[in-house]
Amino acid sequence: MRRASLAAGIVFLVFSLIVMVASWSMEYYSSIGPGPGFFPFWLSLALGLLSIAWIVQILRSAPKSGNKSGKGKEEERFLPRGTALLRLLSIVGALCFMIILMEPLGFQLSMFAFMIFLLVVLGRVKILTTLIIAAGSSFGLFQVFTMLLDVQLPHAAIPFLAGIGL
Amino acid sequence: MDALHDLLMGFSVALAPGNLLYAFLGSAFGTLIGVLPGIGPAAGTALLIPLTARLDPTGAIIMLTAIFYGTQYGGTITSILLNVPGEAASAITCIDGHKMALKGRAGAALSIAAIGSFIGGLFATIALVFLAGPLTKLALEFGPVEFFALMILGISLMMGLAGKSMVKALMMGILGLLLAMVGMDPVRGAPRFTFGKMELMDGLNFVPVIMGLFGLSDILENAEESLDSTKSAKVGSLIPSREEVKDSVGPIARGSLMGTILGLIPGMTGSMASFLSYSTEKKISKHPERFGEGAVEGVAGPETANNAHANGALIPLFTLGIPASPTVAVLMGAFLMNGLIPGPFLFRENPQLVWGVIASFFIGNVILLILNLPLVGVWVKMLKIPYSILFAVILAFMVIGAYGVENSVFDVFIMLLFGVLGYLFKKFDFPMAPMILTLILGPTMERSLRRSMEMSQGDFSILFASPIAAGLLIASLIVLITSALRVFPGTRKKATSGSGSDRK
Amino acid sequence: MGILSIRKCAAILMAVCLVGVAASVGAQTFPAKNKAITLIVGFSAGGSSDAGARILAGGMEKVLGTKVEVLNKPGASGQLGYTMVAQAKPDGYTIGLASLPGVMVSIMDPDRKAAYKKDDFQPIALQVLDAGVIAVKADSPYKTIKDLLDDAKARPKKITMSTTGLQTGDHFSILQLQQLTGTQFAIVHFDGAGTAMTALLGKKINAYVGNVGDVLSQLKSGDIRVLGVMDTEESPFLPGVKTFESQGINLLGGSWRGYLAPAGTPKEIVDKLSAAMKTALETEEVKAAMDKLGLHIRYMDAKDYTKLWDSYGSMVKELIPLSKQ
Repeated sequence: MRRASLAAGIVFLVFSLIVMVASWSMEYYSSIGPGPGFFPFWLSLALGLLSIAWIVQILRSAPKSGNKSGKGKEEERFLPRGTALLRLLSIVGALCFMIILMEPLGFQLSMFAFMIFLLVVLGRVKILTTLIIAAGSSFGLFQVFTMLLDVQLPHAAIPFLAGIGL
Repeated sequence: MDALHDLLMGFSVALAPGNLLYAFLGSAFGTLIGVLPGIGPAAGTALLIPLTARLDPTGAIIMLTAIFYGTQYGGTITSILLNVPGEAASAITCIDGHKMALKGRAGAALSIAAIGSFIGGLFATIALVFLAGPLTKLALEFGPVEFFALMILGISLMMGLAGKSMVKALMMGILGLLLAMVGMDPVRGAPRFTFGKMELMDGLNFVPVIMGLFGLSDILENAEESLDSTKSAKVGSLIPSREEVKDSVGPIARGSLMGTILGLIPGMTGSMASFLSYSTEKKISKHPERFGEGAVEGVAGPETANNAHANGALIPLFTLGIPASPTVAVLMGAFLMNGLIPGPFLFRENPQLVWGVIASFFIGNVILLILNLPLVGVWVKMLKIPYSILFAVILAFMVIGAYGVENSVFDVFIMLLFGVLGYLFKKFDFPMAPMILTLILGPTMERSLRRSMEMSQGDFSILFASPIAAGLLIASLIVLITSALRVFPGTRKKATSGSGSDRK
Repeated sequence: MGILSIRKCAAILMAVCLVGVAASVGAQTFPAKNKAITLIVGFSAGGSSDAGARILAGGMEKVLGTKVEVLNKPGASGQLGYTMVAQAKPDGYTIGLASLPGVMVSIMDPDRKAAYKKDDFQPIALQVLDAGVIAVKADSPYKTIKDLLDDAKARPKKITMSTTGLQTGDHFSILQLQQLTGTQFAIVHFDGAGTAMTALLGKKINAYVGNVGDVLSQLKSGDIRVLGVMDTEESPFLPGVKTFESQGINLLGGSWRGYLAPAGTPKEIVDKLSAAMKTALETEEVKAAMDKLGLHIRYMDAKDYTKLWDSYGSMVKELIPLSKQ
């Protein structure tokens, strides 16, 4: 955990440096007041200093002793491993799927696939229940939102699919 | 009192069966819109306008305004139950509201929220009836300079949102301010930090950000354990305990006042009102450490404030003919389409309609209370759905919600990004509230400063020339100093003063 | 093998012919009965631009006999919507709302990094001009525009004037006014009419610049005085307000809202759409609806609209560097 925190602190520090550099290329002060680069510069500077302060705090705090005492709970890993990590990545992956394919495939198809994946693979829900919920969430909600509520969920960009109403 | 007399006349109009029905339909629909992701109050109101074309003007406006303040009731439900904000102003309720739900107090949270919302709405409407004149004058006093000072005060309250680590809270606060600067800058109108992406030109969209930070990060956290659990959350009693009610009284009172005043001022949003209420409650609480763990004040205050804000935002529409927010602008469009121009003269020209509509605000809020309280039991049943199904449905709703804000897939990406970030923030114990607060207040802060400079052509003294602004800035200073004192010479002082009682 | 490739060629040739025939038939039978026309509005639902577009869409449906669906793609002051139109298929089934000078600014200003150019669009027709106005508070010492200008000359950069946003029509109008009259104002940019009007009524700024639609309520309640309207004719919604032209200042401005098709849309289709819009704008229903919103119908066919389009191009190009000072 300590190492991970240090890494995070460095990430913040690097981030603030990047922003600071970016703000240099912007106008610092206009003729009548702070320019677009003014606040980003000072804020990123402050953030950088605070990151350093945090890193110092971490370094100063006594590291948890390496030998595991009876209370191993303190030594939680920072990131889960194995199947837990896989689950997390699956969710992120499924969302990426939606982001990339929602417009080309249209809402209904992509959401249907999305739900089936989540329910069957991650939720281990029975097939029948999955199909009902997936259909409802995709085709059903599509009708509700576009017909009744006038929210514009995307139709497929692929003409063949759009032709059949997807 | 004249106003009272007119109001009674208004009731006679509002209680006519037809208008009563419209108030009911509007309230119900508004609640639904608040619950559903992807449609904010503006869009929801806008899409019903054609339907109301068939109705007489009074009925149409009654229905549309009911939708408008009704959404504030609905937005709370998903915030508390699912940690997914139903709409922007209800986001802060996620923090303590959902924690309450996790402890089995979902019913109590929803009930308190409904009651607080009712009182807030009522308070703002009473203010409209009896204090419209002076309140409007107050609203007009708020120009760019005063806005800037108010934003500074809000941002300094952020310090009070710090948990154990002030450093982390400050870092998050600054991060929020930096994120607030994404988009077209107020000085040159040139894109700033947009990576060439057009969708970022208006800045980060608030709804996808908070959906990610709260909703998605929650699901990711749960994914660490398992997602196939057929168990569901426990549901305790639906009625708030006596203590919860007692603790809510103060926040509700303060939230009503705060929300109404902030609603009056065009440019102040509902999210600002609810967040400022939360920050204030935490700052003045005797037990600030309870916030974030399910403090009922963290629900009572903001929920009251956002409803008071919604009803308060209608005041400038009636007294000045100015829409205080984009949603109210949609309502104004509805007025126009019915051949009415909103403004003070409407009171003389068409008192039946105006007072009928105002009376319907009272009725609408009552209807909403009656609708929502018993429904608490129904909504809470949602928690009984096994998580293995619930998580997927929540994800589906979040995708629709993020997409629906501006019909853009990019917003879904933003939701994902902030979901992952939120997950990481939680891991490292970074408090999210300060970041969200500064994200909300940041843009207005920078723009108000810019406007003030444009007005004075670069002279900073304009910021102190206004008594209101000067007062607010001094208040900010006081807040900053007291927050800093709590932290720094803090530890030793706290030990001696706090433990004075347990030293026999 | 040789036979196969001849067959292939024949097939390709036939396909090409069919497509060509289909295209020309398509133009003649435009719009097809069950194919909806998408009208892209780069602004949020419920705003004044959107409202006007929806009214017209409703009218067009009746004239053309097909569905005309409004698709909102808000963001970046309309830029997202314009991009979508520029990249759409030029078959007449996708058109978009355009607001001048906003759309020109997005094209001409390199900072906006627009993914389209002026020639990517084919103007169809103009619908409405929401003319610009300058207003002061009713109890202000400025009774006419001349008073305001005189004071501005005496105290350069001291008189505050609001806009509803950076590089909006109001902003450009102020820049033009300054050029025409040799004055310098302190320009203060707000976000939309609501906050700017509040500032005027709260005496935080001296003068308000916006559109006719913004000031209807306050004029009626007597809270403000409109010093002039930036049009060639007086506005029916502002009784008693003179044009700036008639007061000796050649200032014309406001929001010109019209419709564009992607460049390359066949002329017959553009003309059909244009004619449909004209007819729709002449129906009682549409006229009444526009009236209620304070929208002044000003129809221009494709030719005239293109002229306006071009003239705005040069005007905006000139003023953009000024707007960045």
